[in-house]
Formats: sequence, structure tokens, C-alpha cells
Amino acid sequence: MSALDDVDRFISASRRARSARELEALVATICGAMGFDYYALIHHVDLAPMNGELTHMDEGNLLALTNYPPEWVATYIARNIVVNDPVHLASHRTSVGFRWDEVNKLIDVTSAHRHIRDDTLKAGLDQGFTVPANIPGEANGSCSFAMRSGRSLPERNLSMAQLIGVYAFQAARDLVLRKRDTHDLKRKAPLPQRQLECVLLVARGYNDRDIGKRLGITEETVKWYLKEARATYGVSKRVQLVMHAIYDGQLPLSEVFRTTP
Amino acid sequence: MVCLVNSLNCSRHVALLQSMHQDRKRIFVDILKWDVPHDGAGEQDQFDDEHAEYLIVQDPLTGEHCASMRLLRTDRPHILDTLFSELCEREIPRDPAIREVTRLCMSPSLRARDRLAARNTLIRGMVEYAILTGIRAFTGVADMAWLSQILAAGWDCRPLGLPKPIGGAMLGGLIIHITPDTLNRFVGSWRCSSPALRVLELDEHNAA
Repeated sequence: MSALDDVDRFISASRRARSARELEALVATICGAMGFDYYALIHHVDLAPMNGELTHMDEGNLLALTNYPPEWVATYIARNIVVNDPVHLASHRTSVGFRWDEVNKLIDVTSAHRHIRDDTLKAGLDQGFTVPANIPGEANGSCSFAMRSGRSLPERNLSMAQLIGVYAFQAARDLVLRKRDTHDLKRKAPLPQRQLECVLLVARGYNDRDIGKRLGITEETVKWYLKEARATYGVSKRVQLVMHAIYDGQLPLSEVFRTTP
Repeated sequence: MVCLVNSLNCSRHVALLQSMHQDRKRIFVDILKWDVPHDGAGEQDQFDDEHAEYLIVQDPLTGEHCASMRLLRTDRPHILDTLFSELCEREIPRDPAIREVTRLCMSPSLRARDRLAARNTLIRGMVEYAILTGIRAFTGVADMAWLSQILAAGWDCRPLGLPKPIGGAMLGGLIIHITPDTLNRFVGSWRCSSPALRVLELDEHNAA
């Protein structure tokens, strides 16, 4: 049986999985078959809702599925390591799988990162391979496969892990999206062009008076447009408005940073 | 709108094709540094022959190229069987009902918002083309960096082999299966709700 046959079977089975538990069993099996000890499929967000019963996934809250040692998971969540995990930060810099011993090629490793790395080692995790899953407009995520301390990576299976990582994350993502209330999924109506122009200029640091001058409208009209746009997202602050418009894909960062006279 | 350009109507799209080859040179040679043939102005290789078909999104105002892909017959020599056969573990899919997608490219001059619209129009045109002409799958060589996004978009995509590091990238052979339901499976930012493909000119030519 070739590795590709195993990948194919995993894809078919993972697409049929209808619960986090089913998917967990599939990932655990293929993880072991590839020669890894641990897996962790997670969104890089505050993992506080994560729990052993996997209700966070069944309720569509976030994607988090792992067999890391439970004490390490508890520490990881309590200290909110997820946001400064060097492996995660590295996974935002690339779209293909990388070994943990290559992290320093992708990011500037700080002393805080080294502490996290030391704690990871103490928790019994040593070598690892992480496949990024960064979907524009969504929280970043990744699928990691790791080894118990003292065991080395199954080198011959890293390209298989690359495929499995991407397909496993997608299966988990599908599962979570299906469970999520469709109301949450409904995309906000696009901001009208004039409102969007105002939001763009806010993002570029202009005040209402200067925005009015640039667009040839009064300051009051600018205030009105921005108020309407804030209402669309249900937020009260300008910075929230900008973040929402960017997250929603309405305001590309390339536009925000574009320098125009 | 997506134009279908092939050997039947290419003489009516000379400027559009030229604009496409120029953008392909900017993307694949200048930006991505691929080792592919070019004449300094445009990128063009041995597969840009009378058997190649192109789906091209055209700027309605300037007539210039916005986005495009080249479709090659898989029952003739194509990229996967000629240049990257090692990416295909089993028999290479060769069938009159399977096309290979190559040289997928967006004009580097497009602004981000327009890029998304052009991409979605092109992708919709690609599925419409398949449904209209009885194509049931597309193959292609892809950088694994795109696989997450391809799957997240809703494509039914499978690997043809394990990915391999080639020329600084992690490349893999992929096959995408098309069904009448494919268009409904596109989700979120990949959706393009209006019909995209323009085949009018082919009909006119044949009728003349």
C-alpha cells in the first residue's frame, strides 16, 4: 500500500466524518501510521473554550484537536501561549510545512520564544513538523505533527504529512463551519463605496476634516458615513471599524498601505 | 466576462493575447523567476500552440488582460506528462474529457479588490467551460502553498502524488473533479454569482 493510497483513504474518510470525535480518531490513526507521536490541529486564537469533550468544535466555536500531553495543553491555554508560540508565528510566514528546527529561518527568535521552546521540551515534545493553514479572512491555523522527547522525525513521511496536514485541517474546518450557526456565517453587506472610501482614509490616519477635503464633502457628511459604517459592523470605535473592514476583505491591506499623493 | 480563445478565433483577439503574454512574462519570469522561454516582452512556450485554449478575463474599458489560464489537452503532450511526470504516482490522467490548467495568472496591475473579482470570474468561467464542453476534471501542477486555499474555496481536489521540492518550491500534481454542483460549492470570498463565460464569438465564427 503506497503513501498516496493512505492519503486518499484519509481524504475520503475525513470528508465523511460528521463529529469531532470521528475526525479525531482518523487523525490519531494516520498520525501514528506516519510515525509521529502527537498531532495538534488548531486555530491560532485564544484556546480558552477548548475542552476534552470537544464541545468547542461541536458547537462550531473554534477548531482545536490535539493529543498533546493534557498538562501541557492546560499550561498552554492558561498562559495563552498560542499568540506567541514561535511555531505559530513561523507558520504565518510560510504556506508550506516546516520542521520546528527551521523556525529560526522564518522568524526572529526572542528570549520569550526560547522559554516557550524550553517549556515545550520539558512537557515531553521535541521535534515537530507544522503545516500552515492560513485562509484569507479567517483566523490563522495549522496542523502540527510532533515527536516525544528523544525521538526523531520520520523524515521519509514529511511530504505525506504535508498533504495530511492540509486535508485534516480542511476536514476540521468544514466540520466547525457546518456546526456554526448560519447567522454567524452570513457575511455583512458590503459597505457602500463612499463609506468604504472614508474608512480607507481613516485607516491611512486622516481625521474627518481632512477626509472631507480629500473627498470633496463636508466634515458632517464624513461623520455620517463613518457612523453608518460603524453601525453596519455594530462597533463604536474607528479602530474597530477599520479592523472589521480589513477582516471582512472589504479593505485590502495593500490599499491601506498604498501611498498616494 | 471570460473570453474563450482558441485556434478558431485567435485572429480576432491578437491584442488580448499579446497583453496576456506580456503579463505572463511579468509574473512568471520577472516576479516568480521561473525558467521559462520568453522574448523579453512576452512569455510563450512550446505548449502555446494551435491545441491550446485560453480563458481570459478582459478589462471591458481598456480591452487589456486581467486574468487568464491556459487549458491543455491531456491526451496530447502537456506539462504534467512532459515536465513533471514524477509528481504523478499512478498513471498520468490522459483523457479527452480532462484538461490541464497551466499558466494561471492575474495581471500585476490590478488593484486588490479587482483581483478578487477577476479571479472569481475566471474560476467561474473555468467551471462553466467544463460543464458546457463535457470536461469532467482538470489536472495541474501546483505549489503546495496554495492547497489550503484551493480546498477552502470548495474545490473537490485530490493529490496525484506526494509533493516534491522542485526549484525552491514544494510542488504537487493535483486533480480537480467537476460536477454540475461544483459552482454551488464555492464558498465565501470565492463566490461569483453571475455567469462568466462568453462563447458568442465562437458561434459567430462558425456561423460565418
